Amino acid sequence: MDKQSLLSLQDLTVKYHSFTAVSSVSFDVYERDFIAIIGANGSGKTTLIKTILGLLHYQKGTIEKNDDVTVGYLPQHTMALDRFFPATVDEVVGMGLLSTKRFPKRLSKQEKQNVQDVLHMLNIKALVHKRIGALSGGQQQRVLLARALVSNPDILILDEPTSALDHSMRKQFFDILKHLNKSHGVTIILVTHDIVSAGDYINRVLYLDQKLMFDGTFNQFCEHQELSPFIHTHSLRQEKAGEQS
Amino acid sequence: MSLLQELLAAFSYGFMWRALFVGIAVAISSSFIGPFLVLKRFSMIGHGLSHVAFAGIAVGLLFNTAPLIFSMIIVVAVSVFILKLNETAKLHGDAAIGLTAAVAMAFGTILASVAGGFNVDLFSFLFGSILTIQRLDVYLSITFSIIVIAVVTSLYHDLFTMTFEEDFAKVSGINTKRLNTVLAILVGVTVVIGIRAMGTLLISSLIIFPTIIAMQFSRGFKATIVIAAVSSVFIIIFGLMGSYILDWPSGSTIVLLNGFVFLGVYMYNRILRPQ
Repeated sequence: MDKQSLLSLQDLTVKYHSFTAVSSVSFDVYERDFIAIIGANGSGKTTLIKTILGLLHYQKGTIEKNDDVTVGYLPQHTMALDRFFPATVDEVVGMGLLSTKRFPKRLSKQEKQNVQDVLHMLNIKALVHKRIGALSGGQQQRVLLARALVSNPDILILDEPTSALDHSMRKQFFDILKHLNKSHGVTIILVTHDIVSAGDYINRVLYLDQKLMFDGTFNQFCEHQELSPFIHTHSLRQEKAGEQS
Repeated sequence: MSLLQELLAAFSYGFMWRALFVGIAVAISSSFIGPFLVLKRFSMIGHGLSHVAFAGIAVGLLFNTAPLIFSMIIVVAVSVFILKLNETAKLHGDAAIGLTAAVAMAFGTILASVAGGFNVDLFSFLFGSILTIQRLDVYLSITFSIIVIAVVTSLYHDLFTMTFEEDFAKVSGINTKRLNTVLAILVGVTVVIGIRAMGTLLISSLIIFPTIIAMQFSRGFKATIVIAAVSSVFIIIFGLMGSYILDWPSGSTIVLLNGFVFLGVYMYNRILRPQ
């Protein structure tokens, strides 16, 4: 049976004044896809997902998404948190549901149960009354993931979610994403520099250099003569970063 | 006369009750908006707008019209203008506030100078004076405080989400531009209703101090607002009493008391509180 397209981009072009950040990009996102969007710094990865999320305007092309397809978002970790921000874990996770509701904003019994289930799944139930700024990087990332998941999104978009995590936490995080993808049917779009860690989990790679240069499986990407050096360069960079931390 | 007798005597005067009502109203309303401004790193907007309020009051006094009403209209308009300047003219918030405050202060000072120098009225607006609070000020303060509290309460979740992370708020469908405009209007209103008790130069402290005092204790955002409001009400009450007994300007006395409380809480947290 053919997979259903949840999101379709056709000829998408995004410009900052005269600079073209994303040029004529077209692709479809299908149900249960686990996509890694990769590319060098400045290749337009973050611009592309911010445009999909409606945070940036685009100059040309179309983005088609059914109204009943919901999207969850996990922003870049470094941008997310002020260490002194007074917000408890349950306030932050609850935000994921309450921000989308109309007045009066209250959680139903079912929604409260949903929050509990997500907290349990991500193993952060014991942290609910803690201040988010007091948690470790990995715990904060799971809290923000919980916030994105409580509304049961069909598509989860993540912007470099593992950039602040060490190797073992990165693996744990990708295991959680795999579980969401396989067991809960969540479609995942991931912007990452960490293609080496992500390679075992994803079913599609989109390589961006303003234009979409490659759309295929991880194995096909590794075999691509022109693009595969990208993996080598980045795996070396990851190894160096790992040695330094 | 003992201190207690002196305080009891103070509350036999109508002006002391009026000051208390205005003080409590402004303490609660400023604590309700303080956390959003402080955590959005926009706390200096209160300071900038107080300078604008000074210019508004100078204009009001010059034309012998109700200075606070006149000032409120100008301050709310300028508050929204600062926000738009920040959004569209690619000016950082602090630069937009600095520019506007300096121009408004210069304008107010020139106006006062042209009108024959600083008179007693203007001085009381600068540093706050409980003697000048009229019955109309009480009604205005309480009415506008209730409006501020009601708006913040009804928009609480959206304001909290936007303060925590503006991009996430936008993705969730929250109209952050409209919400920022509402916040700018609320700040303008709060600054003006606090002028009688605190003075234009010191009103911003009521927005900042209670929040940072509460942040020393609280883990959550709602708790921060509640602790800020409760501590600010107590500080206002004791500050007004101190102002009466010591014959100091009310705004200055309340700010000093806020400063001491913050220092005490900070020292307790750093040195005495078990980790």
